Parts: sequence; C-alpha cells; structure tokens
Amino acid sequence: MRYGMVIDLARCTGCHACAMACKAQHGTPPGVWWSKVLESETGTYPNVRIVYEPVLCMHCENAPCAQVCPTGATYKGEDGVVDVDYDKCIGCRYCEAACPYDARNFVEKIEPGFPEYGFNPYEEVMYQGHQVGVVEKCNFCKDARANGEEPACVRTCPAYARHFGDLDDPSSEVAQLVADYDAYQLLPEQGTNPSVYYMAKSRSVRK
Amino acid sequence: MGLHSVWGPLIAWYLFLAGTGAGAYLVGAVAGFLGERYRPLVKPGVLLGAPLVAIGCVLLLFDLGVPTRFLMAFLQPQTSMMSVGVIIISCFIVLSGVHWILTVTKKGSEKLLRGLSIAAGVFAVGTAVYTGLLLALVQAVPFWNQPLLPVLFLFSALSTGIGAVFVAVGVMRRVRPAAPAKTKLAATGAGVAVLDDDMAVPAAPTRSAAVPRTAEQSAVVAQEVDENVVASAHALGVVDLPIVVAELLVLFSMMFIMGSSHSVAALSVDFLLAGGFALPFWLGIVLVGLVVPAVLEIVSLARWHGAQYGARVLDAGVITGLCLLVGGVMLRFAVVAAGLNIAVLM
Repeated sequence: MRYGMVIDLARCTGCHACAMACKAQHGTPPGVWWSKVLESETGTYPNVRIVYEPVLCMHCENAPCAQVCPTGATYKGEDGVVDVDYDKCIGCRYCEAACPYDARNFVEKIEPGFPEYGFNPYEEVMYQGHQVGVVEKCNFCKDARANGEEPACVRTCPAYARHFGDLDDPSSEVAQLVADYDAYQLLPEQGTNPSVYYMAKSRSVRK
Repeated sequence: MGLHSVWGPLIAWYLFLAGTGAGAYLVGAVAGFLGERYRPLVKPGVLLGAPLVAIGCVLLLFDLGVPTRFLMAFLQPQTSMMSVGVIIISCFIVLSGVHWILTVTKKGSEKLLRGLSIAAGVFAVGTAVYTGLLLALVQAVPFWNQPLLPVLFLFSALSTGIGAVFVAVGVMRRVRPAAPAKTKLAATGAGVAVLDDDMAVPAAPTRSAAVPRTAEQSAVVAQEVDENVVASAHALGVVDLPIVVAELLVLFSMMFIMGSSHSVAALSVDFLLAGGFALPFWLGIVLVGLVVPAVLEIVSLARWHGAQYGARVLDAGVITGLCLLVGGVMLRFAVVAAGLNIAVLM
C-alpha cells in the first residue's frame, strides 16, 4: 500500500481551489499551507507565460523529515503516508530544514483570519485540532480517507488535474497514469522517491 | 536572519556556546596533563566548559516550539543526529559538571580528575563536531551538506574555547590586581575566589602608582608574580595560531568549493561573500575573528622575551580572546543564515 497522487500540469489552470479546499478541510491557521500553488514566469518578453505548480507533502518513501525527527513525532505509516503526531512534536524544526519540498509548516501562533472580528465559529471549532509550536503538514486528508473520501484538493479541483490512489496497485488510476505518461517527481536527485507525481504533457499525448 | 533559514539567532548562539564551552573544557582538561607550568589554565577551562554548554542548551530549549515537551527527545531516542547530539551533550554536561563541582569544592583525587578529563574530553570533542554534523547532515540545504562544515566548527570551537580561557585568565588578573587582597575575595564571589588561587599576578608595571616604592613592597610583588600564568597565556596563543590558520583555510576552501558548485549552495556563498551578509562576513569573521587574532598571536610570539613581561601578554590575550569569540559568534550566525533550502528550485 502506497498512497500517491498524480497532478496533471496541462490541466491545472492555477485557480488555487486546491489550496483553499485544503484550508477549509483542515481549518489551518493563517500562514499555514499544507497545499499550495507555486507560480513562476517563463519565456522572454513578449513571449512569456506563468507556470503553475501545485505542491503539497510528497509523502516520500525515504522521508528526510522522519529521519531527522528526534522524537519520532513524524513517522511513515503502513499506507505510505507521512504524518505527524502533534503530541510528540517539540517544535525543533529540524524536519522543516530537512524537507526539500518546503512542505512543512511551523505553527508560530493561532490567530483569527480577520483579527479585528475575533475567532469566527468555524475557526473556534477547527483550531481545536491545531497546536501552537508544532510542525504540521499534509496527511493526504487522513480524516476524509477514513470516511472513504478522496483528499479535499482532489475532490475540489475543477479541472480534474489531480488523481489519488494506491501506487502499489497496478490497476489503480494513479499507477496507470504514472506508467503511461512521462510522469516525473520533483527533485529526484534528492533520493527521496516522492509519492506525488507530475504530468507535464496533456493526457492526449501518450508515451 | 536574512536569506532563507528555518533556524534563527537562538540556534546560532546555541551552536556557538556549545562549541565554545566544549573548546574551553578541552583547554582545561588538556592543560591538566601538562604539569605545573600550565596549571593556571585548568580551572578557567573546566569552570567555563559546562556552564557555557548548559547556557547554550537553555537557549536551544527556548527555541523549541513546545519547550515543555523537551523530555520527548530523551524518551524515545531516534536515529536522528539531534537525538545523538542530545546524548552526547548530556554526557558532556554531566561529566564536566562533576569535574566543575570537584574543582569548586577542591575535592577529588588526581586520578579521578584525570579520568574525568579524558571521559568528558571525548564528549567535548563530540559536542564540537556534533554542532557541525547537525547541519551537515541536512541534504536539502546544499551549503550545509558538506564534510568540511564539522571540521570548520571543530576548529572554531577549539579557537573560541581558547579565546574564552584567554579572556578569563586576563580578566581574573584585573579582578584581583595586586596580591595581598585575600580580604576582598568574599565580595567577589566563590567562583572568583576559586579562580584566584592560580591567578595571583600583580598589576601592570606602569611608571606611576604600581611601581613598588620600597624594597619590602618589591619583595612582596616579586613573590606574587606567577610566571606560570603568563607562560600559560603565551602557550594559548602558540596553540591557537595554527588552529586559526587552519580555520581560514577550511573556511575559504568551503567557500570556493560551494561557490563553484552548480547548486543553491552557490547562492549561499554569494550571500556571505557579496550579498546581505558580506559586511559581517569580511569584517566580523575574517578580519576580527581570524586575521586580527592571528596577527596578535604572531606579534606576541615574535616579541616574547619571557614570562616577566606578564601584563602585556595577558592584555594582548584578552583582546585576542574577545576577537576570537566575536568571530565565532558571527561564524555561527553566517552559517545558519546562509542555509538556503533546495526547495527554492521547485
């Protein structure tokens, strides 16, 4: 069992709905982004365009964060998902330094999204699940998966650019996408073997 | 902290204090094996070691997101270098702490103290190297991820440790300038009193007041001159000079190798040599931290005419020591601040 994700960059429109769905799902405090969309410019004027790259925790097979954690708070589960036990996290931030994907978020403080209005009812409920001083990150929507749902970013993506499933199961959609298209991983030279793959070409271009 | 680094000033201070404490202890521990001549280095070194490292650990504790959970790092030791460091530093603090207590209370046989020196000395080297390894094992930060970093931190730890002892030896002379001042000891505190026994050196022989007026006073002063203190300070400079030169070589080797790499490490080097950290780097680390101490030590070596010129040697030692310490702090700040993560390439 190795949960993984395939992101089709040819379909991504850079709408950031994945990032917002993630924040809504987990009620992460301001400044904490488990899922986000990087934007960069490419080309030379006047032939320029913006490139969107949605990123999240890569759930690496050789997870540097888990290897450097001094307390065992960060661990890799049987399902291939890298998760954090907040109650064990001392907030040393070694994992944050060690993560090559900038996927880890240190919760410096928990404050309302609009401080002048105080905590709204949603924040009051959702912030119960967060702790100040620990490091958080994507867990492929552990709670949603327990209810048989796909991760929030996958469910939300209006362009159907994200696919989720078991990479170890050759019949799964993600495994087939990885096999059939030139799906690649980010920073492969780091030797982390991420479980998140990217498809640069459109699905119409088969290998 | 400039650039992009997960860790901030508290970690830089922690790395510095852990290295300096370990270095100072090593000076004291090694001097303990070198006979009566270098006895004056033993107490400053041993008394500085454990407290400096302990203060560093307190800073580290305050840098944690949840300081109250620090025991977690002891409960389930992991393979993480941080877990290894927790064990190494704990062993160092316990062993050198026992040595500290035995030194203050003037207890413990020579055999016990020597055994402690060896055991705690091993962990002192471990502590100094660990502060470099902690960063060097982070593959995602190319500038840290290099074998020269622990070497640089070890040299810097030895050098700043020597610097701390330099300052202690020189300052103790000022705290208790002329000799028969036993009555003042109570006021200056227990630690000072302990240090004082080996620090009886008269004030600088200036032309005015300090010059003894009668033969009787002269005899008293001569009796109180401890040439061993001066010889010890001189020896510190002799030992530190090659370390400082080696540190310069390692530092610039690091900069050349990382600077010519096709990786984000080159950005880190650029940040240090020509970017936002250029002034502290060239002025603080290279000039004040390495070049000035080396020049002072060379001059002091060239003009050494024996231990009777004690005051000047000790004064130069204080300046040298302060420079070494400033350079050491700046070096830790530089390395921490330049820790650019490879994630910028995503």
